[in-house]
Amino acid sequence: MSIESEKVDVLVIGAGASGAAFAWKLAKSGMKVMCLEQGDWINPSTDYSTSSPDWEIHRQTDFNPNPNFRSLDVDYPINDMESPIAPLMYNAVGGSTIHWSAHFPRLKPSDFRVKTLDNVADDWPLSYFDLEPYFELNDKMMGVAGLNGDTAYPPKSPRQTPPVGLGKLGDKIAFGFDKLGWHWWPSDSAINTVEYDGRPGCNNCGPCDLGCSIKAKSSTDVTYWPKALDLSAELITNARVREITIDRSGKAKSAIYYDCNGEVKEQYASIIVLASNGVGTPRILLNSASSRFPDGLANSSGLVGKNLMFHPYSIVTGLFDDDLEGHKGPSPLNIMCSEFYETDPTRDFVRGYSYQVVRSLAPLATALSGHIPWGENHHETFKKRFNRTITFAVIGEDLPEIHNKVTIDPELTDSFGIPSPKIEYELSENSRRMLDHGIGTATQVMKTAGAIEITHDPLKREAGWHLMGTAKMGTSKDESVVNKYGQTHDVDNLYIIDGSIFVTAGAVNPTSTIQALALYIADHIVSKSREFLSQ
Amino acid sequence: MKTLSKNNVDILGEIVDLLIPTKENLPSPSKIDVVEHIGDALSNTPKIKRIFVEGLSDINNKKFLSLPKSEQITLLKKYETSNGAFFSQLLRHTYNAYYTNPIVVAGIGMTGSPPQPMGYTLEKGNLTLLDKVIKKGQIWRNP
Repeated sequence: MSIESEKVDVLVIGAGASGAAFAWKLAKSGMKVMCLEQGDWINPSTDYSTSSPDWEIHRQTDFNPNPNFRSLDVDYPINDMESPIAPLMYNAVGGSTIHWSAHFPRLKPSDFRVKTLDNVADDWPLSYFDLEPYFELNDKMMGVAGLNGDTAYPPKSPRQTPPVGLGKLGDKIAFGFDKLGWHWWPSDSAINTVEYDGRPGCNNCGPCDLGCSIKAKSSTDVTYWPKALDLSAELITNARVREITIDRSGKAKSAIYYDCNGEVKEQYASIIVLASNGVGTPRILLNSASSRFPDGLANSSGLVGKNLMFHPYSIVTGLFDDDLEGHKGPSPLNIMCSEFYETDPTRDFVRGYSYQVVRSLAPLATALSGHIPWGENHHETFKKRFNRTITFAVIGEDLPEIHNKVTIDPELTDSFGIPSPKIEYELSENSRRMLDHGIGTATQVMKTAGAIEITHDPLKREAGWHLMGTAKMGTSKDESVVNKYGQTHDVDNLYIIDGSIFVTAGAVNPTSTIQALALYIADHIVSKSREFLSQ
Repeated sequence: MKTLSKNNVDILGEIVDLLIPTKENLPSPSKIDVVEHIGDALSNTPKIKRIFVEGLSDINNKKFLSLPKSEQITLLKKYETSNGAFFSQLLRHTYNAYYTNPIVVAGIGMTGSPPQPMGYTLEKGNLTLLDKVIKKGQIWRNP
């Protein structure tokens, strides 16, 4: 027996990157908005490990980005046995922005027109320039460090704070790019480098992935949520949504969830919005099958869960002779190379890739890197590697393929018995050729910068940070799940605002674009609110 | 330590000092309580504890403590290939305990303190290296 609650205007499921931005925008319009979040609040000043000597061990345990290893009560397990890339996420207020590296590039104009330009996948039903005002608003809300004038993008408004410092390591690799005459740029980061919006500047402590105890990193629990709550948005934590129900007319009626005590509750809303990421959102839709939607809610196209895109990553690491002070500064250096981003018909793959530059490994990670022998030569080898490596993360554009998918595992459940997702994914030939090209060019930069040893990992497994495409946006009801406003074709008061709705993935981190989309969709809902709320 | 028996503690103490020998200002693991830290970590992970106990018991059967150092090293090298599950956990837990010790972290040239609250000073870097990129002009593709 479920406990019913008073109906709200808009119910958002998920308090991460998109849910936070969306809830703020809706609350600002005066609508009554409630958000259900699977995880809890994190207190930055007490809950992060970076002030503790054993901080690095937390990457292996309670702050492991892989929920299967982390295994906290708030996580759900994921069957990823049939995928070479493991999906990563965090469940808390702020979602995966809690453990992200705060890379904040936007998708580029060509990313929205891949069918027209390169005859692959589909065009988005909107353009970069449609989203531009929302990118700008989102930058202001999140606070972006960067340097104007990047030749890989249309002009942007002045960045909120100066770019993240390069340090000795950044200068070293920039020298390599400069010699080759290739593009590089101190790319946008959602990190305050000086005080902004009541939060301090970064003190360059390093491990952004373990959470920012001083709130310089712009996770949405410290950016959007305090403002949304001030505007009377309501946020219920430890609320695990089991399913979305529909009424007799086929409209979304409520979300049924388990509260922190395991009690079943039902929350009614005029509009329901999914913001649970590219794995969590199809999980809820597929778990919400009914006689009207036997294959899952809003799934008449059969595309819910299909077309899963990660960004496949190759890792190239160069070892240098000199001490690069690689432990200083945000671990993602936020230099980005877009030299090979756009399609070049002389290559054996279509579309392209970026590199991000990553600083050296911390002490424990250096010891565990596989390059340090135990025994007599241990310290000598450690000394030659610690603070002296530079890593490129080569990020390839993953094109949508129907066989890459999220389904419901027939046996696996979370601790409350809610069925868990299963991932099936294969790296395409195009992606493999793209990454191989990237390994080659990244090696060239490393050599030119003076690396004395270069190693690579052709496909990093623990790299499924970006979860996209599983409820695709489009104009046709048969070939997509949502329309250009994130509204499902099948259920007109059900919206999706997370990475699920990406048509293609681009070759950059998606969060900035996810949030811009959420703000754009919020504007649409506000403009239609009278119509929805009178029903 | 309750997690491991006295005999296993003795064997482990000998092993960790072979894995990471002392050098200059870097202490041997047994001097900075690495074995105790491993025991604490194992108390929360029963599956890994079982792998450890079985591995150490096997080593004990080879009369490890009475072997000369060179033969102890040879034996460990054999385990590295023949019992990878045990050896990888042994290395990981040894490194976990050693490289999170403030004495070691200071010994490798850092401040010895965790990243917060002090952080570090970072050079802004040489942005004049962007001149060629700027001169080359727009590379984004206008659809």
